[in-house]
Amino acid sequence: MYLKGYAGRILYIDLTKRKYVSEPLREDLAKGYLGGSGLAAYLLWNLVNENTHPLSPENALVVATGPATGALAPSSGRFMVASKSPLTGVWGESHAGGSFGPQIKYAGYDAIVITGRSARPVSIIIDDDSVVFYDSSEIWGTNTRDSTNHIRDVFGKDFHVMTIGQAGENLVKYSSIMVDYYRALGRTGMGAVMGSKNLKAVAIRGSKPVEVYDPDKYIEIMEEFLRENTEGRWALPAQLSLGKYGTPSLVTVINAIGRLPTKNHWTGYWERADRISGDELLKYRVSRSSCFSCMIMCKHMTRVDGGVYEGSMSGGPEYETVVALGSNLLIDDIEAIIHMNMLCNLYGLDTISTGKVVSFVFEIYEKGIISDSDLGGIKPAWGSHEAAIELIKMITFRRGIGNLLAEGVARAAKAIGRGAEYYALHVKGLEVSAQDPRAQKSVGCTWAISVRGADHLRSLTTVDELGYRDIAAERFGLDKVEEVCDRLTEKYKGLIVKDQEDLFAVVDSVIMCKYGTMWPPMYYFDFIARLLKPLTGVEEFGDTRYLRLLGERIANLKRCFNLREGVGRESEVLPARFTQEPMPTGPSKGHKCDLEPMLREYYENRKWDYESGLPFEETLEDLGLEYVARELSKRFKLPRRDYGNTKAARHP
Amino acid sequence: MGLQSKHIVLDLDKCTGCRICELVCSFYKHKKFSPKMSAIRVYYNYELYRAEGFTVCSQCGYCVSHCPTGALAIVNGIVVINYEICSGCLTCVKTCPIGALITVDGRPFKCDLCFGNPYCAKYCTRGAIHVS
Ligand code: SF4
Ligand code: SF4
Repeated sequence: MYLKGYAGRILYIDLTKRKYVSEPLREDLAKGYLGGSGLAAYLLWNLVNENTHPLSPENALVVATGPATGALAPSSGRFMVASKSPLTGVWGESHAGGSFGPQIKYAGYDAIVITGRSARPVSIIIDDDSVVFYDSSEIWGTNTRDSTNHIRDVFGKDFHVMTIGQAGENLVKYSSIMVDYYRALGRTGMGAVMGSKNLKAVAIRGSKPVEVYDPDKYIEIMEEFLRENTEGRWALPAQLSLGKYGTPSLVTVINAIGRLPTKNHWTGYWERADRISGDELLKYRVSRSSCFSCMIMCKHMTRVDGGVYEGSMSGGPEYETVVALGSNLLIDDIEAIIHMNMLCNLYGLDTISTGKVVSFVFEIYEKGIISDSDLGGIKPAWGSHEAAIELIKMITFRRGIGNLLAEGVARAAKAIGRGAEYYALHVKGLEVSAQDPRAQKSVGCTWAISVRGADHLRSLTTVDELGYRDIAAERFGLDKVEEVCDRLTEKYKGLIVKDQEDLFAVVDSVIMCKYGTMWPPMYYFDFIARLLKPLTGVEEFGDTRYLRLLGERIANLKRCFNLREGVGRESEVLPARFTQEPMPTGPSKGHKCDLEPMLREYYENRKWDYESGLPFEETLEDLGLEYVARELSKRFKLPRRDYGNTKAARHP
Repeated sequence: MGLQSKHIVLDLDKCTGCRICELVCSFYKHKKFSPKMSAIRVYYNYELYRAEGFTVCSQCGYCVSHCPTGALAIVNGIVVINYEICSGCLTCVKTCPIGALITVDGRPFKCDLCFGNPYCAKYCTRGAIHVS
């Protein structure tokens, strides 16, 4: 294979037959879909269809790296998994940091595709070319720490391990996969996909090198990356926030703009936020860590010494967790939050969805929609960590009402009825992340259009959140700066959300971290283009316009994946709390989110038809997605846009 | 000689396990990215988030006297391999008391301090690596 940067192979594993085969990575796929999220989108489009049940043997779990993985690129230690989500029934995708991803590359694979279902619990042990199916009946039922320790004890400490806990085994729809103890492939229920396949763990170790097309040129870029991280404009701010506190540094900043989800997202400001701030957490920090090949080093470990939660210890909690299990539940006991974070990590539960399910229960109990008889002895009350902890356990083991709650907030609310749906905060079935569209209008658009649901990682803009005027001017033009940088106006938010979605599609495929690309906004298309060309030798990658095209192609393909499932425009709605209830308190008081104008603008920029919610046929053709258009045409009549018939006319 | 010689030292308390030193070493020396091809290796505990040890040549010179072809020599306090003479017998790899010499593409490989300009130290933004 003449493409450098890539490992050049895809490993296919069939758990039903206990067979595996590795095939060369097709050059056109690397060039056309980059890797990571893009490659996974192409593979899944072909591997599954609208008739595939997410928890059936036919569903595929794609584990993927990108060309930058393992090649020293900035914050490039991450990897991703994708599958049809059991939580939402549509595109599911989750990314994790740490050091697992590079090992996939060093073992010789760009991606691993897992299908089928093992008759008995099994783990997959990959050591370069060797793939072993390891009977795991003995560790079925264990938490993620015990399972990881077991695999490393048996096969060696240099194996990196991703595993599910009891939640994944019990098919909790928002169960996570935990990687090397504390890194979570959190969202969209990827743990349940593993559970449905009787797959307890995947362990990997590799010894092969990643090669570079033009080492001399590449060294120059790396030197620049080093300078950027030591003396560049963002070096100090990043060290003083992410470096010092990790993501919880956000708590105070976000509260100050009235965007801190509080009390099941009732409001965006909490007077007691300082009790769960980065400074508070720092008191419990026992060590600091980094992902592979990252100079930001935002990862921390916390431990509680003394008190009720004595001995609780885990990686994190991260910002999203501190909010979901803290302000969102009015819990200001930081030790309880550390404890709950540990429990979720051990059981393998997504902390975001879990927190929002618990706050849903608290609120519908308060509103009298459910009563004590539904709860088997739990007393939900704002601020009660005892109740929250009990619910976490009931969900994991599907006990009592936990069985229903394990299905996610959307299904649970539907089953409960009596107006519970109003308090179920989700989009497409994915519980909302720790932002608020009333305090940052673009978030409303982001949540609505995101392929995985109410998600902050397929597109989250920071130019408006933090008002980076120079960057806004550079990217969108001087004439738009005022509105772009105003987080409280809807204008131009459809435009910037689309732009960021394309950027993230590339970043998630390359794969680099959102830190460095989202905040601080150091790396944009131009840097990635300069990095990819000497790395891979692909001429086109050096062209920013081509990278943008790939971003659009990948974003479009994932949207079309959802359309094929019958999930389109009608699913792009926000919970009424954000569009109807004015923000009751705090700096963003009085604001509501007006989604429609942003959505219209987004569709306009996406070159999709707002009325029908479908892509124009030409849009897909221009992006090289004719095969997608053909398949969608079996279901829908794709609209055509009347702007000349030739590509040349469309792109003068 | 011995403990007096200049060599790379890693401060375990400062290290956060990014492994950039390993990547940089393999890249500057072999033009490839591979922790397995690095002259410095960090042992990081992912359960406790703690670096527990590292291996890199201490420039003690023990291998020099054991090399049957005389391919190893001490130049300005640094143990260097003359690949023109090296027969690839790997005696040095086997005799190194701390396992600092490794085999890369059939030949021995070790830290040469990048001749006074250690790249690993330059890239460690935690300042965990220095020459002592
Ligand atoms: S570069 Fe520094 S912080 Fe990173 S692994 Fe090496 S010694 Fe540790
Ligand atoms: S000084 Fe040079 S040769 Fe020695 S470990 Fe560091 S990078 Fe490698």
